[in-house]
Amino acid sequence: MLRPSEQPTNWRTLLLLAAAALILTVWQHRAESRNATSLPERILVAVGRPLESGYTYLWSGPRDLYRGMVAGPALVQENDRLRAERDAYQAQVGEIYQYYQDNRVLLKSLGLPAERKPDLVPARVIGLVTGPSRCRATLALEQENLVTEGDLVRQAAGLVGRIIKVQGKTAEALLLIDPEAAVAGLDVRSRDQGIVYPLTSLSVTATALKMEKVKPLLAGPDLRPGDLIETSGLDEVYPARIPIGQIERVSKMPGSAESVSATLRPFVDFFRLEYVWVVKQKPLH
Amino acid sequence: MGYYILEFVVVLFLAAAQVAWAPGGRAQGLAPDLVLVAVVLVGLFRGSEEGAWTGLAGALCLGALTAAPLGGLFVGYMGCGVVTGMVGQQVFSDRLALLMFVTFASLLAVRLVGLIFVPSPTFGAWLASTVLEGLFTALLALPLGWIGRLILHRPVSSLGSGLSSSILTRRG
Repeated sequence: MLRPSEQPTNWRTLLLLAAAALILTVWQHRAESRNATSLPERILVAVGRPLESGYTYLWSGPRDLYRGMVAGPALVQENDRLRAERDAYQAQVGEIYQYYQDNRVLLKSLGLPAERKPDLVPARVIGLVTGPSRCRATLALEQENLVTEGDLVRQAAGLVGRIIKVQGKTAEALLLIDPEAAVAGLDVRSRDQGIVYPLTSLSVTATALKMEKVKPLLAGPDLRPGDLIETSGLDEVYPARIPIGQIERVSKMPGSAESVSATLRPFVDFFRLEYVWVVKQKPLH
Repeated sequence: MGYYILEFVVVLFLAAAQVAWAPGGRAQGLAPDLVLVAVVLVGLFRGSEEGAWTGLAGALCLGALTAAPLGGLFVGYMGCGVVTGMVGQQVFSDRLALLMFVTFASLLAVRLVGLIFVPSPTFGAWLASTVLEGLFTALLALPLGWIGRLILHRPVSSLGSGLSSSILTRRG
């Protein structure tokens, strides 16, 4: 299996490459300290992101074709059913609009600002990095300057994460299952509040979230399997009333009646993200 | 010079494919480390210097596309390129089973370096994900190894058939 080495290693070249790596690392750190991106990275992002988008279309193309061929008839039936439902709901629109107008008048009479409809920006997930120490997604946007750092990322099902870096028409999102992520949660049934953060265990990557109750209420902790958890808005990072997940099991700490934690199954499948909404955030402070 | 630029472009394509790997083709959310396979292949077939160059290019591309800190990536990938280059001089590197084993070991080494730079909250989760990613990557190294063996010429043939003329010209 072994044979003698016949080509001596050129250490001078290796040292030059190591020096180049050092320069690039320092360059990146200096740019990061100014909240910017170094020039080599900017160039690579400008070239690499279209490649990522291309790959995403390449992967999803055959699958979409297969779905269209196999599930086509069923989708047509589903479409007809949804059309009928839509017609039924449209009949209720007039009534709901009347409620909306009443609500606006009421808010005005109380001196409260009218409820602002959130600005939603659709985005496609073109890159996904998941692991025990890092869970991020790269989003492709229609145009530049549509989103800013701190904007919320969600799907119809629930919370996905938030934008941490914007680079032209793409943005990096910190997923809720990233070890650095945490969100203030609220039990919809009992109104118990707590902190929701990724579950780190022997599992390969966090597919579940954990909620720990932070402040005991008068009645004591009340978290039960099946309860729905949504954002409470207390962290001032995520707005309130965004679904997070459902409690699967509750475990109480021995020796302390007030300490309780719950394992949640998130509503979002973080490993199969394809499309998301970026919700424009108003400055909270 | 053109060869090195071409290699950089190939590594960029691989890094983009790795980051944009299809959600349905992931194992527990993990994608195979295509860049590392390229570094191992170039290291084994071409030697330490080119392995280190591929490691530098791969780390830079991955770092840029995932907004990750470059320091740990450079140490891991370039070190892997240098070591596989040294190993490639002494073993029959065109054996695919060996290539799979070296890829698996390299991924463990690279992730271990990463663990030093960015500690994981739990060692168990890190170990489980590293082993799974290593097996996935080693499996994918098989078809890539076939392609790599056709494209990348070995600097010295183990059967004594002489040096490839292109390598002689390039290495002076």
